[in-house]
Amino acid sequence: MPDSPSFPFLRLPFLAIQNTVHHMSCTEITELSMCSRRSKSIVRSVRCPELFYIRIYLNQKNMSIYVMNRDHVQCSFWTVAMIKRGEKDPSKYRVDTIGGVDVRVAKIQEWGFRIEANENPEKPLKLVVDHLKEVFKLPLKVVLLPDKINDFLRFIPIFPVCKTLLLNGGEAITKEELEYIKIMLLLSIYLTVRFQ
Amino acid sequence: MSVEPEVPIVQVEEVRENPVLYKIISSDNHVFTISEHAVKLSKTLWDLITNLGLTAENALDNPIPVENVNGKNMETIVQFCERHKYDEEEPEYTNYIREFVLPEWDRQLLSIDNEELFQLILATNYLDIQKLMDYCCRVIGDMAKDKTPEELRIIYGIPTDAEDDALERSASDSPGPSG
Repeated sequence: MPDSPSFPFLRLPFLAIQNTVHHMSCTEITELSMCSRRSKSIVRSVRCPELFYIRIYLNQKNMSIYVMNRDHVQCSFWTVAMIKRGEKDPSKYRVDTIGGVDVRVAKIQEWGFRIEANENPEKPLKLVVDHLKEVFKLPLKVVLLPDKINDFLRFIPIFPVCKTLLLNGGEAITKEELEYIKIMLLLSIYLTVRFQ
Repeated sequence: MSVEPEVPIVQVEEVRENPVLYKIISSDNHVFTISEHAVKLSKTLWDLITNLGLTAENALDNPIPVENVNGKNMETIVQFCERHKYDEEEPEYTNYIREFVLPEWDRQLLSIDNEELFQLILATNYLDIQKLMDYCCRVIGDMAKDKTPEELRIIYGIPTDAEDDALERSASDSPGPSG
């Protein structure tokens, strides 16, 4: 295409915006939603019916968020890189504003993102989950393996409302902790505690 | 309905098989002929033709004025419709991301600058030509491939939050019509 000024995307009729968004991958839609509050609001108004739920997987070594389609296939994922102070992750980070907060984000594959976190991964995780929930209007399904996660209860506010929560490794949870989780969460389907 | 004598007549493609032709006048008074099969791709035009009761006998004597579309866009649209008039009907898109290969001919046709593409989409939207809308939107969607939010802001002309806020402030500060 010849060189020309920007394409006036926001001036398109809504049906054309919707049609264009339907040609984009989940990753591209996410990138578009992060351009500004206005772009986020426009993307929110477009239905993306092929996307079905957000899966959050938290264990000691892997903290990830997946946007899943109706066939239970990942359309995009976010993972947390735990960077210790003084260390440097080789990924090429950029700074995106998510929920009004600057977050360091690296694109790691065509459909994946890595967010940099220091000692508080729950903070950027919550920002990303809230953003994805708002943009795609999807329910959350959470798998939490609390064993060896330092103070795992701090992750509970990431998903105050979720469709399902599977606590895998129930022996790592005290009765009081379980009560706290039940009080904190609004579950639309079920809470499963699995003992290994 | 009468046509000004100086108006250029654009014959986009020879129509071999279908004898029924319609005349369309663009906003800048260019006249186009289009075959029945091709014009059916535009829901707006076909509804108009049906409602006006145009037939094979009287179609060419009754050009259809389209005041929202200029000659340049109309030429592209007529070319597109003539090209695709015998395409098999595609299944209705339902839930999933629209995956199709954009034919090279159409990619070439839509290799125009951004403002022209924008105007073409407005015309396509008005004339309700689903296939052309899908193709145009595919071209716009492809612009987002492998782009960061920063790059997308430039490509799609999306102001930052700060720019939007400043615009809103200046709009609310400016005096109204009464001064």
